[in-house]
Amino acid sequence: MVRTLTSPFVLAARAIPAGRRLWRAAAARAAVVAAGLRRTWRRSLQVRVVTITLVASSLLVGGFAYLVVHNITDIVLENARRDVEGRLSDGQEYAAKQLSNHTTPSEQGLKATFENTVNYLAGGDPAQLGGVVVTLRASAPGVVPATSPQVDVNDMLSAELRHQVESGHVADQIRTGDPFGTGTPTKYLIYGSPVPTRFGQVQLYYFVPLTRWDQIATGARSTVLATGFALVLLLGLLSGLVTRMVVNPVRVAARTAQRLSAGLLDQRMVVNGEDDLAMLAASFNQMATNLQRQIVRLEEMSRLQRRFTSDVSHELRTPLTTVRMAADLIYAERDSFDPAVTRTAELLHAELDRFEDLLTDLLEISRFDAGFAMLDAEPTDLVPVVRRVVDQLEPLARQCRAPLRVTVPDAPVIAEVDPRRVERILRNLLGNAVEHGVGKPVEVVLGADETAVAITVRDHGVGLKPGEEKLVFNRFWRADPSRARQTGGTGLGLSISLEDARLHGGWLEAWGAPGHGAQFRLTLPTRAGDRLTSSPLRLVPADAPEAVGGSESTGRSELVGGTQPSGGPESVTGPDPATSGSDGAPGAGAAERAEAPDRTAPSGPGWTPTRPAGPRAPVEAGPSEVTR
Amino acid sequence: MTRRFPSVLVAATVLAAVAACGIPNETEVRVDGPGPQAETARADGTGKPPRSRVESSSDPLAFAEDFLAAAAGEPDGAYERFNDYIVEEKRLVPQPGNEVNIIRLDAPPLVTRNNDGTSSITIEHVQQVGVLRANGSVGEPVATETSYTFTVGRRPTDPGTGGGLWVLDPPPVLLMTDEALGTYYREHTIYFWNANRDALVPDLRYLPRTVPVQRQATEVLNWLIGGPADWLGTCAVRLPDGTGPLGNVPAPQEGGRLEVNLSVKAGALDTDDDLDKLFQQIVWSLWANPLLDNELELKIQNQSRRVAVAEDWRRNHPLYGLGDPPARFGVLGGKVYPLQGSGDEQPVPIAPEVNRDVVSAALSRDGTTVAAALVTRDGKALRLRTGAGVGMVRDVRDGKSFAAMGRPVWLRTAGDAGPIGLVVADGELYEFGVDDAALTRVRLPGVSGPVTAVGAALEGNRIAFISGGGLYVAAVRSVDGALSVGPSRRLPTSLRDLSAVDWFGENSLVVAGVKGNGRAAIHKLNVDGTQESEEVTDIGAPVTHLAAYPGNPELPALAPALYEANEVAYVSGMPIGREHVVPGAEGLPPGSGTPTAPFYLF
Repeated sequence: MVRTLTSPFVLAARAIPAGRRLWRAAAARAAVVAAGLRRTWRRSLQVRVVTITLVASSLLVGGFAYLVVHNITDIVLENARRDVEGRLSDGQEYAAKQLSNHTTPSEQGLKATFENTVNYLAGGDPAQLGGVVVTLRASAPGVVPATSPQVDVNDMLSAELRHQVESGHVADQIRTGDPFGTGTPTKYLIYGSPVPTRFGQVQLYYFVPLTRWDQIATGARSTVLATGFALVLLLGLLSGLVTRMVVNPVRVAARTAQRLSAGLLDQRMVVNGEDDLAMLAASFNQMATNLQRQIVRLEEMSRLQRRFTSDVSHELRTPLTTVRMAADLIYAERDSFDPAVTRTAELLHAELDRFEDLLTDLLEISRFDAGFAMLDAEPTDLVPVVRRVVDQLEPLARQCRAPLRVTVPDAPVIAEVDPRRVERILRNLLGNAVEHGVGKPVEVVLGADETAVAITVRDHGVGLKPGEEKLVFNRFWRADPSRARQTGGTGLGLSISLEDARLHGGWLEAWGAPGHGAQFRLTLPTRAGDRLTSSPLRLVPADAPEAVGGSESTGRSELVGGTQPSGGPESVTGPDPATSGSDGAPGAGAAERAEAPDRTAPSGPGWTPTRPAGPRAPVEAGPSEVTR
Repeated sequence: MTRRFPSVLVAATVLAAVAACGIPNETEVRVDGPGPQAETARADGTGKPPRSRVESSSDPLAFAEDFLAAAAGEPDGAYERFNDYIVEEKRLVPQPGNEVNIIRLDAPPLVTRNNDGTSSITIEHVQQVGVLRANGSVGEPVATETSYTFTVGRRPTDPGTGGGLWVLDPPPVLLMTDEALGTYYREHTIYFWNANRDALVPDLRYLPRTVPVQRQATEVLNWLIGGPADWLGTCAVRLPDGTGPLGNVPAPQEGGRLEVNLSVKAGALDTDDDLDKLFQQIVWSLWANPLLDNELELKIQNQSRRVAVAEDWRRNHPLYGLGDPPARFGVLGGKVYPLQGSGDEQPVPIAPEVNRDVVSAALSRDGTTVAAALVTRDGKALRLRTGAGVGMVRDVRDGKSFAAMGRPVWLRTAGDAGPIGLVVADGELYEFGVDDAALTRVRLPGVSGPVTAVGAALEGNRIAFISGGGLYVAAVRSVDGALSVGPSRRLPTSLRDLSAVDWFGENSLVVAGVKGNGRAAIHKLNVDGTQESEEVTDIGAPVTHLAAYPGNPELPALAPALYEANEVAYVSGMPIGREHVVPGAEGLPPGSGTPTAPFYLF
């Protein structure tokens, strides 16, 4: 009982939120549909053309149909009016004649005359005459109006029409009513005319059903509408077909172009017929053929060039070995020579070393270019690797009076890497840092997280000018071309390092600011073949100036550029820099972007979990600072 | 998408507009122009209706006279007008037919004042004249009362005396005096074809003077469609069954065409002759209608079938075809002689060898053929001789002899072959033919007593006779050569000892008898007895012979009645002497006798 009493309220209370939910769902669905439509509209030329054709033709056909139907209706109505007007005129004349018998409204027989007249004018059987109703009314009091057939038409006779007719005008009006009580209202054309009599004015009204005329008008309208609709549909269909004829080859062309750009240079379009689209396909094919030819030629040239480099390097190595053996002999016997000759022997020895390194690097590069470089990855603890490289470069660091500071985690940092290549990269980076460190400390930091390991090498030399972060990886690039190549490497070290990093699927990035030194970061996936998304260490150091891009400085770029000429087009390997977050920002511009989160949110998601220099990082406890 | 949206909207609007396009459900009132103006109206000449109660006098006698005229007017309102005089609780219940009893008073109503302020009105010696029917004809009286009494006075509920008099206790039936009939009605003769369709039978109707002249034609047409009066039923025929009016007869413009529109049953009026006959009937029935001053158009089911100038049609299709003006004849010395006075004396169309021993005679002419009926003296008896001839009757046949024989008359068109003669002999009515002098007795249904006189109407389908002292009219028709007489209708007259009768007009008789003062007189009487007027009074001796020339539309002037009293012939009260006799080739017979038994040739 209680349940039945309360249930309506409960139901109502439930219904309101349910309704809201329904409404929201509907709105969401509508939004989805709208979005879908919008997408379809933007993407499909066919849909656009068909829609526009449909709308435009609907407008045109609709306007035309309106005109035609309007005219037909007018004509039909005019005919009906003329018809009724004629009847009314005759009827009025007849009624006037009939009523000429009477001189006073109270006269006997007036009622009969009224009735006979309307009966005569109505023409007898209403069923046969399509329901024409005739009524006579007198202005004089006491005269009963007569209507034939005897139906009530008072409701259909408007006061305005009555007024007009009573004031001596012939007037008409269309009204809808159901005087016969059939249940279906019918449109009537009501015509009224005054009938002059000797006992005052009498009004004669004709109620002529417009059923037939209405049917004609409706029929015409239906025909015009159906024709118009069919026409619009046909136009839509035609436009759809035509657009399809045009769009399909274009789509094929687009697909072919996509394949071409993906490297499938032998893709061609099918040429059908001789029309414009066939011409387009032929031209497209021609273009593709030309492009293919050009690309193949260029590839061939490139291959020849690389081959040439490789061959030259190989060919040079044999005489160089001979020269080397001779030079070594001379060098070993240098103490027995004239001091001036001794000096020459030493020079020869040193330059031969350089020549040898250069040849090695060239061979390495050509191996990369030829695609022969193979990754020999194995799980390796990177801490010993770092330490080994630092140890190797310790003498050079001491020589340059640039102390090396190493920060590594206590725990082993295991990653699937090729230790030889990683070592080479580190050696390169560290060597560069020591050389450009102008006696200031060089910091090496090793960091790791679940997916990646990273090593940064920071110096405090002259730094890099904006834009030079990319250039440093170019082959034989130098910051100041006028500066003599006195020190260091071959100019290919960073290029090779970049290729090594790339081979790992890792990143090698550079940051630098004039007067603030530079920092290089190597990020490698923990598991070989994984895709990198972020780096455990920041590229831009914490002590970097705020507005790097804006500050002008000189000198630092010299340091960077002078030692690391490189031919690599990119400083970043792996993912698109735009999607790799601020970590991946390689240049001054990127650094500038990366600085904002650094200042405002130092513990941002990109940084916190892996920063080894953080206060809670155990690395702090175990950095081995080696100074020689 | 945003650019597309308005165009979609426009397209939808256009489609909606097309879909909505069509005959609207309702429009404003459109004025097409001014309506027709009323045409200048002709004078309608409508007579005044009888005075209503409030217009009536406060004098009981005058009030009573007004009351007895109140029913006059259009039949539908008769009860209403009559009841208007009567207090509500005593009003008569309208009876179907709206029949009004016509009474004749020989003296003004007698007013007796009562002590309660009312007056009793007594009308005594009431003569029931007839019943005025809705179709304007007056039938034989139904009521037999000879006196009525009713009370007039002020209504007790009326405050003061402003309410006028009321009839507090009315007579039981609708009453109207014959005077009121003469005052508020106009006599109108309509015509019906006789059974042989060779003569139009006049039918007298009364048209209320309140009916405007514009409507008179409609009324007449309705009468024609309604058929002849009851008593003419045996001789006159109705319009074909299913004939009806299509609307009213519109009043035409001055000199315009009067249109009569009839609906008939399919198959009726198919022949030209039928149409001509109908047209003739209508054109003569509308003879007195002032609106028919030019053309009459007969439409059948809205189709014009006959159009003719009424006057021309009447001229070409006369009612009786009498031709010559009335010619008087008299009997002098046993011979028929023409009499002077009619302006156009004609020779006697009876051969001299036949023209002898004549007591009284009757001549009838149809074109050039003349029929003669001669009552001749054969010793002490009287014998009828009859014969016909072209231009002159030379050969006659003798009939049976009778002790007494009245004046013979001819029924002009009753017979199939020539006229039928009628004569009263030995108190019986006999018929005879042109070539058949053998007298055949005519049965007069519903009439007893000896027949003393007979008169024949001009068209030959009605007779008037005196039987057992009463005056009767009856319709006759010839069936297989024998005369069949319809129900006789007795006419009330104030004369007694009726001695002679003849037709004096289409709807009037002259009858001779003795007035209340004991003197012989000749009265003119309507065929329905509603009107009686003195024609000749103070005749010294009883009228033994009366002959008239019935007035009719063809006759330019009325011919006076000829009569004989004490063997002296008179015309308009003046005796006809020998000097009035046209002697002819044979000359007058010797002696000083004056002509007797005067009669007209027609």
